Amino acid sequence: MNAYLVRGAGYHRIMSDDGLPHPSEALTLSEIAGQVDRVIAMLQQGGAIIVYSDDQQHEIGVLTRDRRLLDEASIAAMIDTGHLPPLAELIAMDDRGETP
Amino acid sequence: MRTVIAPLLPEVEAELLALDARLQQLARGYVRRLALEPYLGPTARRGALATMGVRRIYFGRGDQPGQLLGRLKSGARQGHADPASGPRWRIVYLVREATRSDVRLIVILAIGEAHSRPPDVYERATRRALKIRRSSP
Repeated sequence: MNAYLVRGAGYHRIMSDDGLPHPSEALTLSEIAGQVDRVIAMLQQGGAIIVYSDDQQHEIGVLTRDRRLLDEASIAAMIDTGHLPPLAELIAMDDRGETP
Repeated sequence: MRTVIAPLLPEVEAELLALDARLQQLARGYVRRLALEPYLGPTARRGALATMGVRRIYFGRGDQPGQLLGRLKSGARQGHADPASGPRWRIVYLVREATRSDVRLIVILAIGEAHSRPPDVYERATRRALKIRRSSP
């Protein structure tokens, strides 16, 4: 039988079922640019990054790969950049048989 | 959740029209089938398309996209098969869900031959996946 020692924060990350995006951390834009691989790894684990401006005067928002948010932002971006009609119009087009 | 196929981007429509009649018919058949089976195609496994969760359908001239039962005839090339022997054409697409609106949206990114003269279908899909979410080129 193998036994592994898991220390405090690591144990919390593995065992927690609190519905929160772990691991999370606040980083500036430059820190994110300088640690892209680590940021991607955190996001892929279900974590989130709180994004600050380099001068730390502005809390810009949150980086996340939360599927729901990513999907909805993606659809909104396609609509807002004019590549897709608004959802209500798309549904109406679908009802009229005008979609592929 | 309702699945809606987004109107084809003009570039994708042009790719479709560039195919011969049989391939056009097959591609349109598979696009229609996505309304029933949005996750029909497997996800891309490499590169930027993989990180975006982009999917692709392989198809060949002998396919019957309207046949809903059983596995896709084209399928993926078997490990022992010649790399040139698999189906040549792809439909590369995105599935995105607007949970609160209860709508699942399918966006066709590119249709055409894979591993052909660059930019092949995957390169075009990669460029478009980014472009359609940006306001400037």
